Amino acid sequence: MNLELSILQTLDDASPRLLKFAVLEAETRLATGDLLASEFDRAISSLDRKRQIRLHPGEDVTRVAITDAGKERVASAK
Amino acid sequence: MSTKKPRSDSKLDNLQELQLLALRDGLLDRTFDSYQAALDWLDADCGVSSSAAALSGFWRNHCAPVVAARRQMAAIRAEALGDAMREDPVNWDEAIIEKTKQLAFEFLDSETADPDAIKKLLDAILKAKGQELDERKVVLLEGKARLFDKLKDTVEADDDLTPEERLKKIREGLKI
Repeated sequence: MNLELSILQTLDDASPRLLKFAVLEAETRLATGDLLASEFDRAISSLDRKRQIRLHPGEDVTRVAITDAGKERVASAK
Repeated sequence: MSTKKPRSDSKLDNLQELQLLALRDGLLDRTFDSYQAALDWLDADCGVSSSAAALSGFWRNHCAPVVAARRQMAAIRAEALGDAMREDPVNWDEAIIEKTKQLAFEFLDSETADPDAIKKLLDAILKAKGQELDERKVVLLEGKARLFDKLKDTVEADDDLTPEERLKKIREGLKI
């Protein structure tokens, strides 16, 4: 499973709720092994540009949610 | 007979049941705070040498489904809490309901309950409750102010009353 799809799948399991950015990064790292922080950041930026995820900067931490476009990508990959 | 070395990840799949569960639970509850810690434990306690790549495969096969199931259940329960709050006569503000649902989800989704998450949840609820009570007090005080104005107009229009009698009538009207 590619990195972007792995991130979307994790967010889809939490939908309609949001996941803390740090939780998402930690679990993606566990699922992919030797993931570099820059690779993860690039994947997040790419998904955000494609509007498949939405970033919610909060008072304490940033949270991430999957969008309808992201859900469609997960569904079409199954 | 094949002498092919078994794949590192299949070695993990073929651990004794108790060892496999210990590895799974240790990764889930972060007893192993890194793959290296898990690899050290596998080597020392199970006599198995493995790799980070094999542990990633193990995570995807044995841990990720547990996390996904717990997370989906947490999301369902958080939504149910929101539905219950909408039916509550307190008339919760939608922003408070949304915040409570998110905090409840994060609490239910965590492997171990985070006391800070509970505190934030209770603080949010108490704050909302306090706002509700303050709003009710304001409504009551506004009602009393309107009643006072009405009584004042009535007693002042009666020229036969002394100042003491006027005050007495206002007090009786306000029930103070």
